[in-house]
Amino acid sequence: MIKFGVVIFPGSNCDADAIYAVSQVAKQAVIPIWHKDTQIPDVDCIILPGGFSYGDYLRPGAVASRSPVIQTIKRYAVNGGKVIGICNGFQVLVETNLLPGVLLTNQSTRFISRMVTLEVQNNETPFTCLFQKNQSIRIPIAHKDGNYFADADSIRMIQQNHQIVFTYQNNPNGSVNDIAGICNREKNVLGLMPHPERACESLTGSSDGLLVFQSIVDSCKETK
Amino acid sequence: MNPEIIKQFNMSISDYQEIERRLQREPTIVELGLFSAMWSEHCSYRSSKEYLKRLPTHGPRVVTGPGENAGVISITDDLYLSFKVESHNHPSAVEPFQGAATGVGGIIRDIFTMGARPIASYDSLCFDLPNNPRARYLLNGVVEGIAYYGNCVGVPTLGGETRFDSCYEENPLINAMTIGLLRKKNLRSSEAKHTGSNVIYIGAKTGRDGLHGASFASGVLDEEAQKKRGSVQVGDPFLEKLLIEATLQIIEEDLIEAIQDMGAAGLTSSSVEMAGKGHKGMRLNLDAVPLREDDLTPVEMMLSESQERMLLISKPGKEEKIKSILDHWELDYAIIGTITDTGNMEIIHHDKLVGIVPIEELLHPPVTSVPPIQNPALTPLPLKPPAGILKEKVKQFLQDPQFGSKRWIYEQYDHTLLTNTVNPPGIGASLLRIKETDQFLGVTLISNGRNSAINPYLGVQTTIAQCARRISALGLVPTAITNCLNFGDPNLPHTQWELSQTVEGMREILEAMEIPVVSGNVSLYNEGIRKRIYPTPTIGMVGMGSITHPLPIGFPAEDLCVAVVGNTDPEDYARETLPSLDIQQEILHQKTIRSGIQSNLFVSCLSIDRGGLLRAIQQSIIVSMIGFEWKLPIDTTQQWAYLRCESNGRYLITFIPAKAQLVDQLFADKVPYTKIGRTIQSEMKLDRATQFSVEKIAEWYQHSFHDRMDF
Amino acid sequence: MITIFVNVQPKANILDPQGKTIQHALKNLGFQSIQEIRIGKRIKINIEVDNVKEATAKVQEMCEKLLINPLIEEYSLEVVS
Repeated sequence: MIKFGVVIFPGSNCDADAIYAVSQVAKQAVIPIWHKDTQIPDVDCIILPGGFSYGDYLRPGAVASRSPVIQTIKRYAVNGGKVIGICNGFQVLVETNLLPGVLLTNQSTRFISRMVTLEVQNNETPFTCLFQKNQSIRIPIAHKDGNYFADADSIRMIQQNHQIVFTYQNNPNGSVNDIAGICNREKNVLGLMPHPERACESLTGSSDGLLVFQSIVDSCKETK
Repeated sequence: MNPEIIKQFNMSISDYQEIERRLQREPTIVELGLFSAMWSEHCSYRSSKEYLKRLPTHGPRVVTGPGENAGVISITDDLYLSFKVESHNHPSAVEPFQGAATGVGGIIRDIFTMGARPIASYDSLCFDLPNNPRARYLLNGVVEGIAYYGNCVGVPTLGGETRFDSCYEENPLINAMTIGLLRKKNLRSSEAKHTGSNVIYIGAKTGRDGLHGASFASGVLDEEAQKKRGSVQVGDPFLEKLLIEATLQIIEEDLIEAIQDMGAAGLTSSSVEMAGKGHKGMRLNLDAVPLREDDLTPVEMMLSESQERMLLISKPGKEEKIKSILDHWELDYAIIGTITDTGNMEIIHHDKLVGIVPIEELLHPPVTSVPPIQNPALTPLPLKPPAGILKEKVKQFLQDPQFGSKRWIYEQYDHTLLTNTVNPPGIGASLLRIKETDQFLGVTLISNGRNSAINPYLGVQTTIAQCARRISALGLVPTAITNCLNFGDPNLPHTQWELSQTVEGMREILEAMEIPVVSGNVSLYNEGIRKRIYPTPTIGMVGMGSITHPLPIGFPAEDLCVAVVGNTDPEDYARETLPSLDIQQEILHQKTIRSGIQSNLFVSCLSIDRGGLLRAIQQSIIVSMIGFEWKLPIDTTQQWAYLRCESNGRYLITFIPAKAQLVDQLFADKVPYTKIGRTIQSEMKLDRATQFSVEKIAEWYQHSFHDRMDF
Repeated sequence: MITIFVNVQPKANILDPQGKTIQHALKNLGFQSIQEIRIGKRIKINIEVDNVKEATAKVQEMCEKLLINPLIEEYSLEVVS
């Protein structure tokens, strides 16, 4: 079994969903990690879940990204450990500079909760290896600040290095280049605004998100 | 005492005189504050208690009925559901964003106070028509407030209703409902049990929020009240999220005897109610209360409505453990008092006793009886039916924002969080799955003020029947309700009449359907200078059961038979009275529909209620963009009435032609049903002239309300 | 006690949908002459330090460490003693 670690900040509220998806649906092991922990258990992948860490006060993810656990996660990522940041988790990753860019307020200035269609742009990452290239998938979004922005140079670099992993078919929030999710150069850190952990069972709308977790499991098994 | 001071507390002279009589002396200012809060309508239910006693509150699944923070029913022997609906009308009319936000915060607190984890919220919003700019301003603020609080605190909002009527112009209604799950062992009450136990304050610090709020909701809104904007409470959903985690952990580890949240009249109502329930007394030391501003007076501390605060009574010796959990979540903790056996509320400040009142007196305000007398002048005039040929009338309906998509609202609410949502908001009742069980929950929250204004007895029965139909259309059994009675000035005999008729109507139908009331709320004084609201009983119904797979909503495919179950009486449309309701027929129809769903006879099923058959057809079409062709022979002059009337007991079903005989057998001669047509591609054809493409119908549906709100 | 205000504004090249929405709303109320609206924030800090120089340096450090996202925000300090 593959071990996932789910980081919990004060105000995180999608940790329970991530834990459920990984343990009950993907049937893997999962360990909660408190934001104040400087030692983290031996895990194969870290999940930074969605929610409103610190109420989104100051800037979404800003205060959480200065938590004690983040230094440890940075080292873990630099050493090749897999990290997936979902929604608020993505916001934490950009505030930490593990991923380039920033998440601004949606162009509509409102919160949007909606099922959207994404396109898989890069299926050569540990998070997407089980998808087909350009596959369309249905995953829900639920955010107010998901408008991805990076300056022109950064965008050029992201494109050149194939760091764009998911794009929106119908851009709901104004993200530059319709970006829904990106990874770092080394492809071991992924940040995305949509919630794959909410799309693991067709009963609740879509099971396309399960493939993200199954891809991670497959990649981890290979490298073991 | 200076009559100006008495007025400041929103207290009547007769109430004040009663206090002096009971205490046999003049009350101190703190004591006056205690009475003003506990004797307010909002805290004491003094004008409605007698009526509420008549409601049926017992049943095999009832674990906790009215009287606690929220009601509790059993799903299994070990798994319980707690739920309640509450209003936050007056604060939202003055400051819509914070009013609605703190309303959501308040109802969520009532649920986790019971030991339940909140899993879904619903809201019923009654406003003036969206062409009124002020109504749009209020609606926008309220929706943003609900979204802000609900999303941040981590409770998805899965449904609700919006009603537009000019009667709500000065008094919009915001009724918020929350449901939560708990294991039997975690059920807690608010009753103080043991003398000597510690009273502990947890959560946010106390400031000057909402001072005089409880008494504020016990008065009619006028220009003065509008100026009281400063006394509206401000919510912090982040802090409430921490409070939820800390509280549920404290309960899970069995560290407390009792718990109560600080809602209206904050520290006063919570402390008095906790001690009162257990027939105990309490001594409070105000110097220990965590403060946001150091110059709060004792009265201000007792009446402050600062949000996100709870009162606990610890099990002896567990105080350190409780504190460590609060430290983990970085929340304030303070031992502020003890349970005594004196039966008195004693308030200490700066080592002086500033108030001592027998709790029984605080819990029993004088009741003035106002006789219920109908004033027929207050019955609304019948609406003028639209003019023109069928095509024009149908087009007008399809473009009406009342019946347009409310996506503008519910997309602002996170409705996939917690991954329990099976049916998204928008159509029919809300369907949720319960993880790791085979059980499903159905929830619906609706009201119809106009029906209640025409006939309060039958009006509320109609609403309850509609709730039960929506739940049954999911294949689930209606189990229990919560209710919020939104009415006008209780000092008017007509309001008393509306109240008593409503409660009697509820009693009859709930007893017959074996659906108990487990919780509720009353909001009175919803009258402005110029307008009074229709009497609006808002009903929140929960149903449950195990279904093999959820039925699709709407028309899922072409070439299906479309039928109306139940009896349609087009005369119902033109009449000035409400359509009749046969309770036994309703019950029979519900059972038969559930049976048909269980036997896989239907492809889809939708309750017919508000907006009649035409609304059900409209909703069914836009879900999958499949059209419909009318086939039932009918007199053209009758067709509009047939489509638009709101006869009770009806459902819209579809089934495959191959199952027609089985469907016949299901209904046999017991339940009338009428085949009205079939599903087809791309169009809705009602008669030769009345045809619209599904794209057009969808376009009107998506834009009619949405476009009014975008600014 | 020294009071310093941090005046934060979105950087010039950053889209400010809030500002645009408010500009539109004001236009609807009759204010036609607005060229642009940008919405920022003002952070008030009461700092217990003896001299203005030390206070300013400390607040600057706070901005760099947490208060400001340099990718999208620019700021100025305003000392009110």
